[in-house]
Amino acid sequence: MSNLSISPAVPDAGAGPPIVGLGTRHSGDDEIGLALVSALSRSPGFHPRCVLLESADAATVATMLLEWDRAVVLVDAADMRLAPGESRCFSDHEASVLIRTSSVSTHGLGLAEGLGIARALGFDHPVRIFGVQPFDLSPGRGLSRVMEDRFPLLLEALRRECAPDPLFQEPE
Amino acid sequence: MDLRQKTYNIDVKHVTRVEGHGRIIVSTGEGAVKEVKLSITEANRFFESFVKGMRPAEIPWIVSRICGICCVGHQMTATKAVEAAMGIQVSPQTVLLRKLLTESQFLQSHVLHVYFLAVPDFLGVKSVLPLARTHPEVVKRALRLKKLANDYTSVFGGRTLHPMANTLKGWRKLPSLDEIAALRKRVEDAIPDIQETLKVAKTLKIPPYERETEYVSLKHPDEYALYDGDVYSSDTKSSVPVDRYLEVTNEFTVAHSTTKWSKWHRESYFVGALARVNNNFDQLVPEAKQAAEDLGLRVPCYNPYMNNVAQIVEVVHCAYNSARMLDEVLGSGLKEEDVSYEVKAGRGVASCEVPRGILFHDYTFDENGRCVAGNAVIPTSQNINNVEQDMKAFVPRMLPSMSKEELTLHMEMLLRAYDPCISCSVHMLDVEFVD
Repeated sequence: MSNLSISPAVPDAGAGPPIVGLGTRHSGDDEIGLALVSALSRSPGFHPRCVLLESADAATVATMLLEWDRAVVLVDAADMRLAPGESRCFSDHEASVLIRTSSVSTHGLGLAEGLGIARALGFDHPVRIFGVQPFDLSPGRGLSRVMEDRFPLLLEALRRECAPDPLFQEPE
Repeated sequence: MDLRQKTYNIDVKHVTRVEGHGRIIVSTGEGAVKEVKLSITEANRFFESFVKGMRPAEIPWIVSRICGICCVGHQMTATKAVEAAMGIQVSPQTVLLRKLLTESQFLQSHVLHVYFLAVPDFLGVKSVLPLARTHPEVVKRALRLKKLANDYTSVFGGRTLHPMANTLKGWRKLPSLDEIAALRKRVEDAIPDIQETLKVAKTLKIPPYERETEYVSLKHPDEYALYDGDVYSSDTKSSVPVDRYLEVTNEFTVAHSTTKWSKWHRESYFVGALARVNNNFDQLVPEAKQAAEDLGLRVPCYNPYMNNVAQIVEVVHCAYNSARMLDEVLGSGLKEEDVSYEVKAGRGVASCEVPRGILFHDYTFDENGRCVAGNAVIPTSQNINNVEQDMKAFVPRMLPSMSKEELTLHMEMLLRAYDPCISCSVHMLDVEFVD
């Protein structure tokens, strides 16, 4: 799984939009993005598209988007005022409204800021965010029981969202 | 303006993030400053408890997780402390590689802080987002430098954050010379971006505020001390060995902070880039000395806002010094080394400079090599007392000339100038006035 690192290569351009798992592994459910994309990478056909960005700050996210210069799916814990373990997939244009606290970030610059910087610097490809409402973000390893119970459903939902979708194609 | 006309109650409250909470409380009225407090309500992290029962080699990787920015520094300091406890000697090659890894982290952290957190303050915008719209070339340059620094860490540490390639006594996986040569070229290619950074820095309007304090940093006879040295005080102009760090930090508690505070020869002391530049200016590379002069940083400098300028000076230092060290590695080559060691009982103390200042780690092991005690004193906890002393001096001095909004901004900027690990929460704070 060479791409499942925090210093990812540009995914295979022909394989579909990269699916990027974000989060940290030491703050409970903030690991959900990493865990889901890691699990998804074991599904046939998904591995070339899967990338993990652990503890990525805004600069890393922005640089990744600008360098890749293509549509992406971002998977992360997000406070969307949903029930714990519920998910929602939306475009980044809604993100400033929906992401109230994004993943644990370095010095207050997280996913929303990274996207904002990339957009301000000319990144104009579609971005879809698969957000999962966390239950417990306290320090410590492992997902909460609530999240573990929901994990199979979340993985299936992510797989559906990331399947080839004619609505999520780059403009001609 | 009559001071008595100014009745301010400023309460800059929290936004909870894992890196911590900071709260600034200012109350003035009836011609006097009634209260100035920097309240830290960050919960304990318990890393010192986590490490109990762990084996020596596990500890540096665990404590790396204390911070996503200073992960290299925590790992490096813990590695040195554990090695001291085990009586492990390391080779010149390992020391050189560790210095490279250390400087990669300084570049990462300083670029992030200067460009993404501090510069927006000085350019009068709320954050880096509007800056990306108004000054896209500045932000693109910041991203290029950050990417270079990230990749630099990856070459020597195996990955950008929480490196795994290094371990006790040496390297588990050495970088290839091809990777190092490519990195060396990229460092060279980054020099124009660093020169442009200096041009931007020249335009920043640094608040003219000074308060002399004690400056504490590592000091080494042969080099600008980042990886090793004794603990130096600007008050005594002398150093003490690192294993006497408890005489330096003198930690104590105050009611309004869950972070322990520190003091040494006076009521508080300053650690970080400005302390290092003040104490070790002569050992900067010539290009960094020139940058300091160009940016108006003349030592000793007593303006805490100049800590951001000192960080830029250290960016210059680390870039040029890294190029020199990379050349040294390319000239000598790298060879695999034996990283085995014998476990024994003992205690080890070590210190490194990390971007925010001097860091101490202290571990004790039993005869089975299991950790029985750990202690880490981080720069931010050493600085918090000094930040509050700065605020207490700043408010009465600036109150006559500043509106409430200006005063609030300058207080936040002052805290951010120290680049504390709680800046994540402070940076996102909403300001609430409770008149």
